[in-house]
Amino acid sequence: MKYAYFFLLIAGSAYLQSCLAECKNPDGQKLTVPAIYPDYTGTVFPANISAPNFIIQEDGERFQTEIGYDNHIKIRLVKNSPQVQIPLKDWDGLLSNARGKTIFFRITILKNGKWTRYADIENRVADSSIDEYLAYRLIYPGYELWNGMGIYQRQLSSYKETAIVENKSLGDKQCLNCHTFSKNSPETMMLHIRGKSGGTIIYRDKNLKKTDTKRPEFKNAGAYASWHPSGRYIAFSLNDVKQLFHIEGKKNIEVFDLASDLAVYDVENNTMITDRSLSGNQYLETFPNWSPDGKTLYYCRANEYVAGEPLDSIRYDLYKISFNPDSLTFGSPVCIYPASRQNKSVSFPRISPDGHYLMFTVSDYGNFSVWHPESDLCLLNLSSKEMRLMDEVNSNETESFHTWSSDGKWFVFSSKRLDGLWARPYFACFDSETGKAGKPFLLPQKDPLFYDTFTKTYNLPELITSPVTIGKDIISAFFR
Amino acid sequence: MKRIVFLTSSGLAILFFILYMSILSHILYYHEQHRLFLFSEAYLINTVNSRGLLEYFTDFMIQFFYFPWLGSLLLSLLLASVYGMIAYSTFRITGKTDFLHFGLLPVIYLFLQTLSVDYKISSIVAWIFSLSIISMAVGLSAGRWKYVAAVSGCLLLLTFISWETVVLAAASISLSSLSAYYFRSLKKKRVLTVGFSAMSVYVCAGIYCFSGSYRVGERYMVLARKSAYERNWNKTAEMTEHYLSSGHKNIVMLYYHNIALFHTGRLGDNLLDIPQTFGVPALCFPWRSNSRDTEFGQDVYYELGHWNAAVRWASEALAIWGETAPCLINLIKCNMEIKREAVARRYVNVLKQSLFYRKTAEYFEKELASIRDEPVADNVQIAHFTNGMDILHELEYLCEHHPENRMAFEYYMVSLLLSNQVLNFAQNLYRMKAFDYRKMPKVYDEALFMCKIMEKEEFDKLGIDVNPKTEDRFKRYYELYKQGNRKGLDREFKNSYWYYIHFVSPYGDKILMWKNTKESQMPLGGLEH
Repeated sequence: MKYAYFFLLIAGSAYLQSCLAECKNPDGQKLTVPAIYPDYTGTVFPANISAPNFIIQEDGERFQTEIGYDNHIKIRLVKNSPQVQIPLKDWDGLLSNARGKTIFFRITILKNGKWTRYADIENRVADSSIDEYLAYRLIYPGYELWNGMGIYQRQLSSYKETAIVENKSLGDKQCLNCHTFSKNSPETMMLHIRGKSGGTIIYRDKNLKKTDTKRPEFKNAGAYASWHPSGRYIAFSLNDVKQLFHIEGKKNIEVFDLASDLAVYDVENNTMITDRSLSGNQYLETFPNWSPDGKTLYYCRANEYVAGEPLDSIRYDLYKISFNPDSLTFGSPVCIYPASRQNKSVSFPRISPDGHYLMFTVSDYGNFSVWHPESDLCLLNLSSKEMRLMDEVNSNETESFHTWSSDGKWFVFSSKRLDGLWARPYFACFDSETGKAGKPFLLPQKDPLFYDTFTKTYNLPELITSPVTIGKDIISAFFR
Repeated sequence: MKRIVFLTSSGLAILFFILYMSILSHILYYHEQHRLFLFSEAYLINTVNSRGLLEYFTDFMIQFFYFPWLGSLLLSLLLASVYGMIAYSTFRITGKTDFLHFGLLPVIYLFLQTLSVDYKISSIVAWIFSLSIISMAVGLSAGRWKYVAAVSGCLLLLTFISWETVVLAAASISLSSLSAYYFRSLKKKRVLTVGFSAMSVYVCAGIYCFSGSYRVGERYMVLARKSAYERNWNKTAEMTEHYLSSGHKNIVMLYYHNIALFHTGRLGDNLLDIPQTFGVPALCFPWRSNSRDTEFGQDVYYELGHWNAAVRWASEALAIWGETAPCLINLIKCNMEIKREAVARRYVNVLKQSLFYRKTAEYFEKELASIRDEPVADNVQIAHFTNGMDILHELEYLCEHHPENRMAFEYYMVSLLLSNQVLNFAQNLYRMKAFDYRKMPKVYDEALFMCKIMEKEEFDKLGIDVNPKTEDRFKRYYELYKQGNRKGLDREFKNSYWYYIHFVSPYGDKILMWKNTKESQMPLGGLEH
């Protein structure tokens, strides 16, 4: 019996030893970096991002991950599982010490009794922080119908996601869309609620109101919006959206406008104005975006839709028009990128907060680039007029909706690169000196396998400086 | 007391078990197909945040409905325990038994509610939680503390259960206790009489309500879908035929009936055995933005190999019904067909988190290993659009581009017939040569003869012969028709195409020439990829 206890003790301590085993001096080295998912390699992290948990995609029995900078190892995780979940507190400490420095993920794997160390995965921590919150809509990737739907916000320095407003609170499960903020601030925001008793909820100067953007003088209601920097006006596109489905082929759907115009809504006077050059049957105008000084409105324009016309002949150019906020008058439209001449089409123009760059989406035709796998992000330097595809952030799948951070050092965009169906938010740093972006990284999640089982799409990701706290007031305003 | 309660509870459990295993088996199946419990933290957080803790517990229970016997046993025991817990609490409060058995009232009420598939099982779970907490409180504590414990328990329940249920549960115990207290001095002989009378009243009322609430159509519809889902087409045809031939009109049943007729090789011969009063929509649901349709609409497109439409319908079903097993499986199958491996894998990953569909998910996972994520060959130079309203256009396209697709061919032919387009039907019949038909299907022959009479010049160009027996039958039909002998027509020709045109077709009694109005409104193709 004594022997039995003795052997049990030996076996137990051996097991304990193996569980606690970590590697200080590896038996071998590999010159390649290990494969990890999501891809958090060679990127730049904001100084306030939550820990980018990942899974090591290499075989092994035990996995050691050391994270640090220079010669300092600040975090050591040794597990039998390849999942690396970095404690948030340790990660925050690392970020605050490593601002402006390169950090490493040093991975050593025990396989067949031998520890092998891979080449360090290197990332950089930026000096700057990103806006603290990301607002987005979560929906299943359907085409026309919906049931549960909501607009949510995620604190980027943690994994905390809260609902801004969910349609279950609105009775008849209305459609919520187009949440839009002025200068990344939730103090001035709007969103549409479609369906019975729907309307556009506008929050400004601590006041919430519901308005109807479908005015008798216009054929359609307001859709895509952009806040004037003064906070007094909202430029709306008024679209008659249609969709058709392909019988065969990789693309399943085409979304297009039969008609669209632009109008500016005066929040104070509850009036809507337009101009002959922004409305009428001759052209389709959409996706308005104000310049930071509020004197220019950028938008996309195509020739009117003619019944029976092939959909892939509808192509949008990038336009701008001057605006005088005092007299509420517009100048003449000026084409700044005739994409249609190159058989391309522009959508979602977004100007950087310093007014130097304009980021937009380019696809082969149409304006609903979300369903176009070929759609890529493009950058126009407004000073030099140089235009280029942002190859450093684009992929083979859809890159679409994008928003600048309030300081213009970061931007977020939707990409379907993981699987071609679901849009996920990717972030990248931006250097306004060089006009170059860093390698994008996926919104970190507590569970590194989160995106493998999450079947909702992130719609309209918008960076905001602080959380939206008026969710309940939005519901009250809706029922008013 | 113990014996009465035990016997009554056991009797109820056995009775419910038998009912749920037999005539109510569809109820459990329906619930199981509309909920999917996942073993993941994300599911817990999402469910609690969006639907509440009670629904999380309910989903956990419903997953066991996967096995009908287990589901029946579980639901029967839960319902019976409602009575048991009321009786127990009554005894603990009063020290007496309620001989009027008021505890049976909520049981009968809850049971009758379950007769509809739309009833939320979470209500039963809420009752169980409420009664459990109250029973525990009055059972564990002594003296006045039991009431304090019961009230505290109720307050705790209110955090995740509606106050109405908690109040009703407490009221049931109170009513039963009052009754027990009032009849506390009842003599033994009278106990039996009172108890028996009360039970008789409940049983009679229960049977009366049951017969009024039981929905045969719902049962047939759920089971027909089940057998179609299992690809048991003979059973599907049998179920739908049984239901529809008794005079019921139901587009969903007719829709599954038609799919089953094709798979059993009888579509061309037996199409009109059941009156096709809905016309083409009973073959393929048109897109009506109706959330209920999404539950069924995908099935025919999947069978037709019309993958884009199948993906569309399945995606809309996901948006409406959420991550249920049928939605996920449909999406996996469709995306596998169009070689979207990464998308199919996401749905497989979700399905793998369930208890009873894990093996199915693992099967798909193995299948996925042989699929590479590649674009479907874009061999289509001209884009063909569908707006979900013009199924003829889509079927024609499938026939044109996939001439080997027999179901597309038969559905196209039948769609033309049901929409009164006889000449167009005859002109497309040449496609039949691609298949090994031994004889001309009966309905086709009747339509051809009609075409021969009405569009002789065009028909003669086609070089098609009509069976002489069909000509003879038409003479007889025409004779009865001229006489205005509707009864005779009903008796002899109710399943003929001529009868359909004259009396059934929702498109009127006129033969239509080809008019593709929807198509002309759509944009042309010409996509350059």
